[in-house]
Amino acid sequence: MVKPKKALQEEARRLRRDGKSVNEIVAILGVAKSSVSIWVRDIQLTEEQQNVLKHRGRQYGMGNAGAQANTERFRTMRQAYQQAGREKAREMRPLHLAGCMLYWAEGSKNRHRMEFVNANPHMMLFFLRFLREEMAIGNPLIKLNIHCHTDEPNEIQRIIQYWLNLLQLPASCLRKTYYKESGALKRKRLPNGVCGIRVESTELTHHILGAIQEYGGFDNPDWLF
Amino acid sequence: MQEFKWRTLKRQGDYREKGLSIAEIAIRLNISFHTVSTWVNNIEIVDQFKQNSGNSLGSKALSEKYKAKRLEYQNAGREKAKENRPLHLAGCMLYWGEGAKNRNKLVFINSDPNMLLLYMRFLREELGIEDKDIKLYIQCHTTDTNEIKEIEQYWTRLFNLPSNALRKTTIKKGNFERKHNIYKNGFCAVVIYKTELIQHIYGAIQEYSGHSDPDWLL
Repeated sequence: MVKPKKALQEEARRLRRDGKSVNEIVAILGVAKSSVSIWVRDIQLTEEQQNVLKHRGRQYGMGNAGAQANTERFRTMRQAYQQAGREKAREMRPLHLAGCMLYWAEGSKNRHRMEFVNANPHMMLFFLRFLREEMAIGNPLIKLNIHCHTDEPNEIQRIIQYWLNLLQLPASCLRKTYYKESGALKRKRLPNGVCGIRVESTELTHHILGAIQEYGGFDNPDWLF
Repeated sequence: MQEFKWRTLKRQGDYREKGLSIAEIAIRLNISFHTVSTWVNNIEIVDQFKQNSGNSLGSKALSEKYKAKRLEYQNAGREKAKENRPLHLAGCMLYWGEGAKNRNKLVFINSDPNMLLLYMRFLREELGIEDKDIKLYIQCHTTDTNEIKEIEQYWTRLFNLPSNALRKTTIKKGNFERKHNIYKNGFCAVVIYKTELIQHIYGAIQEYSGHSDPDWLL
């Protein structure tokens, strides 16, 4: 025995006001989904009800669960790396402290990549010493990006050789060298261009970020990304 | 116009090779010092034209005297560095990265409150700086007077400084809506006018990293 449509319609609207989804109403009343949709579409749900539906939906619910679990997993991993950095920081090794402070000032704050860019040869050497002695980073992991302010091939070669000799790295470390035409002033100020050291390692990056927080005595949740 | 410039440039070159100073060339051709300087700075002066006139002897003696003084300050910094105090090391390394390399003043600009707090601790605990020596120059990305006041209060309260430490706040030029969202509290520059301190830090940095940079004697 089918109920009269009018009664069904009112029942559907009542259910909708309670915060039921269209599919649920269809399951309860046994009418076509399109009919229910038309009957209830003008009812404004409260924010709470909307949230409940949103998080139950496919997009926010099971369909996304794997990705969410992964996010959580890698976040915990990064937290563990930072914790290791903090442990190391408590040993108060001068070179470690110095390297971390330099990185805080000059390094880029990426999630997965440690990148340190500078034109000062002494600073680059010192930072590389920190990487090699404290973090045990070997040459194969290091990548070198050089920026030149000239477009003469000979000059570019000279600059590349300058940095390779200075940092004692093999040519296989080199990544693409950028060059651009610049004014005389810039060339004079940066005769050897700018050198960037990169290590693609999440662990290293977060170790340093954790150590910085320990040394500085603060907590920066932004750095967990 | 361009052609005229090239002709003047050529004449400048001739003058320079004859050993005229930049000032003399500028006056003779009636163009600015700066222009002459950028145009002729790649021309080597022959030794016999190098001016070594007597009227700069006094200033040379003075410059020697102050150079010796700066060296003394740097050596004091090196001595302090040998004590290996962690906070001193941290402050010097931060300054190496972020600080301005001036001869007579310390300038440290940043937007990260944590970094500035650590730097402040370094100044107060390791170098014994008093509040009255510290000057704050704030740069912000807003023109709203109330907001600027709030920003100024934020920094003075953060550092526990009296409001007379503030110097004139700079409003950044250009389209700063996006920047305003990133740097809510703008940048803060901590400035101290003391030759001794800055040279102390230079000396300490060189000691820590084990290098020697004659450029820093300036």
